[in-house]
Amino acid sequence: MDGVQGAQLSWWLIGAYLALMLGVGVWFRRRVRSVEDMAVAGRHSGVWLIAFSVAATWINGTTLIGISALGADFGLDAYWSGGSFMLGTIWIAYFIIPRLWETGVITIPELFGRCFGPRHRVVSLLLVILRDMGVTAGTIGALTLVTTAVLGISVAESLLLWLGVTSVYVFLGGMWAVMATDAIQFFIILAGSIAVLVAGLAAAGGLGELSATLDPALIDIFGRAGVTQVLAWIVIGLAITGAYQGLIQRGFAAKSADVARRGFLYGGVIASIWYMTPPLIGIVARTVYGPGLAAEDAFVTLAFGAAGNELASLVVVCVLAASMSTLSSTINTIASNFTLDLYARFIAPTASAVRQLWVYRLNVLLVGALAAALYLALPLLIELFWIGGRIMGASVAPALIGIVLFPSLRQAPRTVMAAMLIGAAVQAVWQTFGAIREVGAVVIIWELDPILVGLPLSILILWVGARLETRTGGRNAAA
Amino acid sequence: MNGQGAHGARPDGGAADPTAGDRPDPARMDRITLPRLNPWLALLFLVLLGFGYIGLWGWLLGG
Repeated sequence: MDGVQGAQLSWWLIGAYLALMLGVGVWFRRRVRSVEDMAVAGRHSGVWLIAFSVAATWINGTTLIGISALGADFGLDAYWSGGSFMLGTIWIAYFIIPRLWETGVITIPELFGRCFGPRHRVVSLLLVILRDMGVTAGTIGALTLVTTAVLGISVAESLLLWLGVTSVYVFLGGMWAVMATDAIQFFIILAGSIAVLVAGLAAAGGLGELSATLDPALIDIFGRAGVTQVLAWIVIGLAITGAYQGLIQRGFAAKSADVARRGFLYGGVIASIWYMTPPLIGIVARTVYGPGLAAEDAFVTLAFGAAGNELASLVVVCVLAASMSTLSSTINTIASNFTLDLYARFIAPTASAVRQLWVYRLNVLLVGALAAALYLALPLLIELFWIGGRIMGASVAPALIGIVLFPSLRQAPRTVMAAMLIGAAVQAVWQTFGAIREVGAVVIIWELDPILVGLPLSILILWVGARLETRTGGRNAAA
Repeated sequence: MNGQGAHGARPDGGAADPTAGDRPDPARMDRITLPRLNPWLALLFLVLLGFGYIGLWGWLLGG
């Protein structure tokens, strides 16, 4: 991470940012009186809070660093590695979120339980947590990588500071604090990322000079990544978005189904437009620093090399904001799973509302500690995202979308279970043993991406199985 | 889409109490009518929109 060492960073700015986040948590503590307040803000949120929260949740430190790296290697194609999730967000705004809101559930496993029974609830719970815990650990990893290099702090200090502050404001204010801090963090991300891009363009000599000197393959629609990989990125984004519980719970937090729809629509559109920023940063960095630049250093090198000391602190706060918005979301959503899908359902069904609230808050701290331990045990960074994400995208996601769009599937419990288990297993096996084309510092590219195997198989099982099972008479048991 | 929920906050505070009055119910999702546009066509349209957005940036950077 050249260019970082000389930057004069303002701890005052970083300290003020952290104090603001904690202040938001303290402010919203008074609004949290139940588990429902913690998990879905008591279902009282308005459109714009949801919209900015949705946008901020989709942007994290790995987005800035990882997609900039992909931009440096694959050019504009890299947009699909993140932008497809945003297009998926717009799609679920119309076809999935309002219907899910209407059911009154708080978690995705709860919906599976209400439809089919406790076994489906447990299986979907494991698959959802696999993804969300991977995101939490991967986000902590990316944040630790950057802040230890830039601020010169230890891994332990990094985990304690960023994870500690995030856990405390979620502990205090639950979903209210998560969404309010998200909205603030979104504007910080916007300012920081655009500042880096503008400074990079200036370093490249302006748009005209950049156009004249950049590698033409970087702006070819199927240039370096190839058709298959672009297709895989599109499918991954659309699939994972369909069952990203941390995101979907923002919809549950809405005042009404229509508010949920509009919040997701506006958030998805805003984030879709923004998501071109990291690939552009990668392209600019590649053009300014040449082929010798390691792709994973593209964002940090451009941020601190071109932006200079004046903007260095803003960039650091931008990375903190991007990462903490995602961390707060995944920590809160996993804590809701631990509390509602395990504790309240199986361990202590008669526990009082007050006791459940305290168990929820303790789970927030527990999830933070577990994610830190996972990161220290498996510091593979971004792959932690994709491993759990792809498996969830090939199992729970098609099942959930099917349940929402096709009522007949709600009468086919064995089909749904088979699709989830077989889809997840095939996905995991292909990820482990599938032929790999390229192993980068931030991403693995397979000859045939595992999602292009696991997802079609799950869809086929759902399609054929539902026809067979409903013909022979399905079963519908409440959790 | 009717846009208005038939339920407010859950009286059980989110607890999985099967005796609670306003119990979450998956069947309620059918009260929300889907947009007339076929969902898979909508998805295809969004993907084409994405390619258009990338193409726009390619055109801008291509000079």
